[in-house]
Formats: sequence, structure tokens, C-alpha cells
Amino acid sequence: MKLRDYAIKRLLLLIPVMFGVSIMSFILSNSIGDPIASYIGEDQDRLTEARIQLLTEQLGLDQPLHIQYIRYLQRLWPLETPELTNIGSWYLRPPDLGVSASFRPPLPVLDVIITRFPATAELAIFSMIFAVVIGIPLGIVSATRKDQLPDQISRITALSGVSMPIFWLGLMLQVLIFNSNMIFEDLGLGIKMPYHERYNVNKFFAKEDNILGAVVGLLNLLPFLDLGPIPTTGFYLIDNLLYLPAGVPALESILVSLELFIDALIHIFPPAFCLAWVQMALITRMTRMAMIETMRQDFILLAKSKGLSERVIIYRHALKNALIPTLTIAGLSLAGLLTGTVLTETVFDWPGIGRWAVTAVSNLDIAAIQGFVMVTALIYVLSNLLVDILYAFVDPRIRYD
Amino acid sequence: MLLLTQELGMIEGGNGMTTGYELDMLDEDVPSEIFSFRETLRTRGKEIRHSISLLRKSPLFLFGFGTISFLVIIALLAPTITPYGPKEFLLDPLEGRILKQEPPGAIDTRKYLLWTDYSDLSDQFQLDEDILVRNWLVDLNNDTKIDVLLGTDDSQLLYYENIGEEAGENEWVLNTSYQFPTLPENVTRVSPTTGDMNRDNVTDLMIGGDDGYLYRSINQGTPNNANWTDFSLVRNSTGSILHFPGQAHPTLVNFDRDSNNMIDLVVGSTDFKVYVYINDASMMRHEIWELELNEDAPLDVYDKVLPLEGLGTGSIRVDILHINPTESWDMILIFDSGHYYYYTSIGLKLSPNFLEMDKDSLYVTFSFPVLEEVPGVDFLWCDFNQDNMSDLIVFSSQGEVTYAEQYTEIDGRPLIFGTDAIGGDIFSRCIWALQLDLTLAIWVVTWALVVGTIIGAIAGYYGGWVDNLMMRITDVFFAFPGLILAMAIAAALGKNMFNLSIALIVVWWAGYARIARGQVLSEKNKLYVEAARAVGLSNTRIIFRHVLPNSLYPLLVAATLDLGGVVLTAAGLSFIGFGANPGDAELGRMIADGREYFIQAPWLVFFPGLVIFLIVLAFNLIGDGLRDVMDPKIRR
Repeated sequence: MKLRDYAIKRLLLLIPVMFGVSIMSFILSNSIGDPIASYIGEDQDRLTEARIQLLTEQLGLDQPLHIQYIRYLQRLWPLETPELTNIGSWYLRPPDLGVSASFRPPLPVLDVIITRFPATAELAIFSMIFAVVIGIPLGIVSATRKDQLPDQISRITALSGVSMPIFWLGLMLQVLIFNSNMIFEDLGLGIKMPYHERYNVNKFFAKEDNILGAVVGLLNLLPFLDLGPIPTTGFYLIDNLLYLPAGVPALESILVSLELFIDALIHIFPPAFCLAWVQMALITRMTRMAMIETMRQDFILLAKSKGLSERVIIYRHALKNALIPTLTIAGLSLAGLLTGTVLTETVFDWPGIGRWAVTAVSNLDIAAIQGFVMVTALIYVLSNLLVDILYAFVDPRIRYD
Repeated sequence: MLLLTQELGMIEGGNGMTTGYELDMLDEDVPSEIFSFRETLRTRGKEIRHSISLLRKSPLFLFGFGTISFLVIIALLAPTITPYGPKEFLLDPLEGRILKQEPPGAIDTRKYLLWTDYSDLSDQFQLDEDILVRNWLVDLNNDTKIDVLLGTDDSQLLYYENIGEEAGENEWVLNTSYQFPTLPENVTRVSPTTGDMNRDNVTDLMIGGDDGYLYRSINQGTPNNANWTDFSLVRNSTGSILHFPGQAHPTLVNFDRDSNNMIDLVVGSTDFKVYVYINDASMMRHEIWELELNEDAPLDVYDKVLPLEGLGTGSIRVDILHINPTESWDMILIFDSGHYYYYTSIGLKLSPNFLEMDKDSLYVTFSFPVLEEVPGVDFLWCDFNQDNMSDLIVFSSQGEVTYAEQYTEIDGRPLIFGTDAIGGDIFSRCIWALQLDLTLAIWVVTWALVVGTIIGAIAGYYGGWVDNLMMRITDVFFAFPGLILAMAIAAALGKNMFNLSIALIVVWWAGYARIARGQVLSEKNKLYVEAARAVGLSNTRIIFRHVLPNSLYPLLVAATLDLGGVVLTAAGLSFIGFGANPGDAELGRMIADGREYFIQAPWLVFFPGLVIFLIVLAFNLIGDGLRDVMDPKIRR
């Protein structure tokens, strides 16, 4: 089977899976509780009989369950066909995932995901880079000095990484940072950790305050172009780097944005470190395993008998082969992280999708749970597929059947 | 089991059991060559013996095995190791109902030790046997030593002056020369309380009488040279006289609920209610904590309902003091029956959170010395020996006076892990939580294994549409981020440990189903299955008697490895609030409970986390060792 056929087959297999996911998320979120309940809360007094009736009708809760499910699918379906026969009238629209009631005022689920996903993605990518940069060398050392001291040390490090409850690690790290900062401050060396409002993207990155915004603003001046309002990317590191304070000389504004960038870097470091340790452990183990296996292959023996130096053998011959499974694992881990690093985000109050999901589940926010599950399942399944295909791409020896 | 944990989405804190061969497993089938090394060994028994001999040489495996044995033994011995285990606590004196079990780690009666050298104060006080006393502690003469003020049943106010030489040394002597103002005529039973009501830095006096009225007297002199005004009736802000149905037990408290620097008043009454009066600039604003929400009662932010319903009848005496290790206020209600109730406000915050606990979450973490249940028992709390812990003097109606000292060391055993925010011993809580979490892990993995194996075996054996259907179902489970799925199921079922275990089983079975299916696929074409079929055995019998036993080995290994992952996931879910309830002894929950104060008190978080770490590390070490032995490619 060719790679293309394999990809198509896998893509087709996604359809029943996503159907299953939608059914399950629908059943689950409906069994969690009364959808109206999520509207109670602060305006408990105002939730009168009439309003309950109105909400019930608006949400279609008076319909039988299977009708509700079909309506739910209809809302998800992105193609609108006002006149079925007239293809010209068809148009695409974003799928309607409903309204997340755990915010006051309630926000559309899709908007929440779009604004919150960058934060999660940033954390995930940042920590993955860490993990790869540290994990692979550690794995190599571990494999080449198998059963010696470096191997034992790196194995213990890796093992403690996977055994560590990540929320505990995060809290302990916070204690450590707090106390060391106190000591440094006593010595007059304290790092100021200004976690204040300017770190808040929504407040400070109005469109004229951002390099991207400035560019877009200039482009918008052209009569034939209208890019509309832009933009913050939602990635704090990038947004801070692009920050352009109004009415400040150019050089100084660069300094300001650099300062903000470093500030953001300091703040992303602790959560990223926690996540990275766990990922690093996986990558180290994988690299070690793959390296040990590769070092026993015949072509390594050949290289050795040719008299090549060990350095060349390890880095030119063995590593290239051993890295393939490692990179796959890294890709899969990244896919896992992208769907929400729930515990880390909770511990560090990171405004990503994971923390939102926890809030949604505890608030019985049904639309949010459904939307979140559908979107993350899609991300997850697609990125797994992507990794599989990529795997075949870098290692042409793989056969599919 | 990397892919398993990966696809369950447990990667964040998951136990990534990575093996080299599983990379080939990107398609869902387990390639049969994985276990092909078996064929080189003649019999299964020989193979297992060989594996064990290899394992014996692996130091990491041995370390892991040792750790887990140690932990299991500790968990099993929990009742003998920790004296503060779960024990039933009768909260309802009238009906003998168990309202609440004491949580594990609650420091039991030994928290207060009767101090033998000093326990009997009856000689010093020399009280008549048939006279009830109401006591009050005050430093009346301003010499930094605690004096005792006693109101008796026969219209007397007795002043016991502390003549101890140092602050920690207490010796009380009746000061007969001290002149109190004349008591009101119709009061026979006196319940005294003191406080600086007019803010002149001199202590004033208030008494509650058995006629239901409160009287107050202002000291216009100095502490050493008292000049009391006559008793006058206490009025509220509208000018009307405060009146209670029977004997009133006033307590002037300095906890100042409305933060206006004026001392407030709490009155326990014979109608089994606690009344709270806010001192609103020298006027008493009325506020009642009562059993039912009264429509007429002013509903302001302080309106809290005291859950006294069903706890008893008769009169209540109130004490408000610091007794727990935090800075929050505690309240102790003493009933006619001699029982007492302990309320604590949660957290370091002051007044607004006071008495936030409801009846369901009410538990007694401070237990007091068990005394004979005699009516008229009266308590006196103060830090007599100046060690920052409240000690206790108990007056009984028989004229006995006992002294008990609060203690942090029991049976010579220090509280090595410290205490938590409500005074529980973290060490014993950790041990009970260890037991709970290990049990949970075994329970979850066992059920997931049983369910997954059966489904996977059936799918693998029959093939065709059955296989397709079942594998698509497992695909659906794999497509969910596992933590979210478990969270949603736990939330749907209701948050407790049992439902959490159900949620984890639902999340976990799919992994075993895949492994079992792969195993069965590789086994079912072997000769012995053919033979069994030829003999005419039923499919069920072939699956369960022949195929499954032969494919069980890798499944059991996978299950062992997953125990650590289950502990980690369960703790994580409890941490974010799905699973154990606040106050339960569960490792993740303990961390969540300690999170509020973890900067000031890192041990609240450190020790439970350390226990989780040890459990999971031990399982992972075992897993690492097993995998090295199992995997032919890196086998030594």
C-alpha cells in the first residue's frame, strides 16, 4: 500500500471515530446534569420560571434526545445550504459550538478556544523544545555508557520525571522560586517578577500598539485592501516581542518590548520546566532504547571494523537512525500536550484551554464540554495521523498493510 | 505502554512506559515477533525462571520492588502504625447517631494531656459540690497573669487572683477583698464576661442572669484600683432591653466581625440559639444565628445559619478563641449535657469566613479530654504555660477542677510531617491515603484488565465485523484526551472516590483490549488452537481455557506497569476536585487542601506529593526492569 492510500484510509477511518466522539460527548455532557443548571449562579434570583421556559426552548431542550443530537450535528456542520439546488447560494460558516456559560457574560465556545489555544500551544511547544534539547543528548550518553554511572544517573532522572506528580512539582517549584527570590531580595539581588497588567494581552495590545498591527494599519491605508482589525497572536512571547508602545521613540520601544519579552520568558519558564521534565524523561528513554538497538546493527559493526572513530559512529551513523522513533514520540507527546495541559495550567493559573476545561466540567458547562471534547479530539486524532505519516516520510523502510 | 498512556492523554503526568518495540505498533496490531524470543526457550516455566534470574541482577528493579513492598506493608499496617486513624465519633449526644466519622489523621484525645502533677486544681478553688459555676478568664489586675472570674449559682462573683511568680506558673487564690458592684437582686445564677466596652483600656464587666437579662458595669478606675459603676441593663441599638428566654451566657469577643474596632457580643441562650450582636459604635446591632432562616431577621453579609438543628436542646455556652494552629477563629459551643462542639473557620481569613462550614462538612479535629458526662461542665481555655497552644481547665458541677495541657507530642512520638490547616497529623493522613490510593489503583487496574481482556479477546478471536466494531469503539476512547474523559465521567456520576474509580476503569480498559486482541490474533492460528477446534470444543471454551491463559503474560506485565499511572491520574483528578472530597485523606486531595497555604506551609504539599512520587517511582522501576527482561532487542 502506498503512503497516499494509507493516509486516505486513515482519514476515512476518522469519520466513524469522530461520530463516536460526538455521540459520546453528547451523552456524557447530557448525563452530567441539567443544562439549565449552568445558567444558575450569580443571577440565581433572576432565573424565573418564565426564563427557564425560554431557555429550554432556546436550547431545544424540550425536544427528544435524538432530535437534540441531530440538531447538535447540524450546528456543527460548517456548510450552510439555504437553497439546496442552487450551489451558488451555499456558503461556509464556522461551526456553532454553542455558548460557554462558565464565563460572565457567556462567550461563544469557539471564541474561547481560539483565544485560549495559543497559550496552551505556546507552553506545549516551549516545553517540548526544552525536552528535546536536553533529552536527546541525555539518551545518547545513557546508551553509549550503558549500565555505567552516567546511564544510571540519567535513567534515575528520567524515571523521576515520569514518576513526579506534575502538580506537586509545580507547587514545589513555586515554593522554591518564592523563597529564593526572598533571599535574593534580602541580598539586594532580587529579580523583580512583575506579573502585572501589562502582561495582560487584551488590555495592552490594541492594534496600534503592535508591530503587526502597525503593518496592518499601513496596509489598510491602501484603498483596495482591508485586512480589518488585527491582531494579537495570542502567543505571549510573540506578542510581547511585537509590542510597540505608542508615542515612544523607536529605540526605546524596542527596549520596552525586549523587557516585556524577557518578562514573559521568565513567566513561561516554571510551567514549561515542569512539563519539559516529564517529556524529557520520555524522550531520554526512547533515545536510549533506540540507540542501544541501533548500536547492535550490522552496519555499526561494519563502521567499527572500518576503523571509524566512536564519535563518528555515534553521531553520523547511529544517531540518525535512532532519532526516527524519538522524533515520533516527541510528535505524539506534543499532540498530547496541545489538547490541554490540565494540571500544569491549574497550578500555574495559565490561561489555556486545559484550565478552562476544568472550570467547564466543574461548572457543568455543557456546551463548553461538548465543544472542547470535539475540538481536542480532532486536534489529537489529526496530529496523531500527521505523526504517523511523517514517520513514514522520514523512514521509507516502513511498510503499510 | 507508551502508546497506551499517550493515547489516553495521560502524557502530562503519565507514566510513559516506553519500549522500543512499541514503535512498530503504530498500526493497532501488536506484531507477533515481539514475543518471538519465547520460541527460543523451550518451556514457559523455563522462560519465567530465566526472566527472574535476570531481574535479580537489576539493581533498579530490586530497588523498586523493595520500595513497593515497603509501601504495601506500611499500608497494610496502617491501623497499628498510626494511632490517629479513622474512628467513629459520636456527635449526637441525644440519639447516639454517628453524624460524622473522624477523618484519618485527626489527632485524637491524646492531643490534650491531663497534666498529672498539676491536674487537680480543686484544692485551689475549693468549690461547693452542688453549685454550678460559670467561669471567665481575664487579666483583671493587669499583671500579665491570667486571673479567673467565677460566677456561681448563689449570686456570687468570685475573683481568683493569679499569684504565680512567673507567667507560666499559675496559682490561683481567692481575692475576697476585691469589691464588685452589687449584683442585681433577682439574679441568682451569674454568668460573667469581661471586655473593654467603652474603649478606655480598662476592662469592663458584663453578666448574664437567670432572669434572661444582661447587665453591664463599667470600670471607671484603673485596673489596680477599680471603681465599678452599678449594673445597668444592656440595650440594643433601638433602645429596647435585651431579653432572653432563660439564663443568658454572654461572651464579649474581640474578634470584631464588622471590623470597627468595637468589641462584639455573642450570647448563648437557653432556647438553643446563638445570638450575635454587632457593636455599632456603642450601640448593639442585632444579628441572630439561628436554626432557620427567619424572614424578619436582617439579612446582611454576616447572616450565617448555625447548623445546630438536632444537636440538642437547652442552654448553650459559647467560647470564641484561637485554638487551632492557624490564625482563624474557632468557636466552641458547650451544651447543657456536657458535650461540646468545635467549629473552625476555614482559612487564615478572619471574620467573613467564620463558621462557613455546614453540618455535613463539620468534623471534629480537635478532640478534648474525655470527661465524664456531667451537666454543668465548664471549660476555660488559655495558653497557661505560654507555649502558643491553648491549654484547658475544666470545671465540673461536682466542684472538681482539672487542668489539661495541649501537646504536640504523643507517646513520645513527634508529629514528624507536621499538622495541616485543621490540626490533622499529616503523617498518619499520608499513611491512610497511601492505603486508599494503592487499593484504588489495584481495583481500577483489575477491572480494566478484566473488561479489556474479554472484549479484546472476543474481537481478536472472532475477527470480521465484531472485531471492526469493537476496535472502532476503542478508537473512540483513544481519541478522547483521557484526563478530560475521566473528569467528565467523574463529574457526571458525582464526585467521590468510587465514581472516580469507575471513570478510570472506563478510560483504562481500551488499552488492555488492544493488547489482548493483538495477543489473541497471534495465538489463534497456532496448532494447539487448531487441535482444540478439531476436538470440537466450543469457542467460549477455546477462548477462555486455551487462548487467554497463553496470552496473559504480557497483559499482566502491562497491568503492573499501569498501577503507577493510575495512582498518578487518580491523584491528579482529586487535585483538581474530581474524586475525594475536601478533608478526605487522599494524596491528591491533601495537596489540593494544602495549596491554599503552601507558600507559608510547604509541608502541607510536600509530604503527600512525596508519597505519590515514591509509589509511582517504585512501579516505574519495576516496569523498567521487567521491560528490559521482556524485550529481546535490548536483552542482556
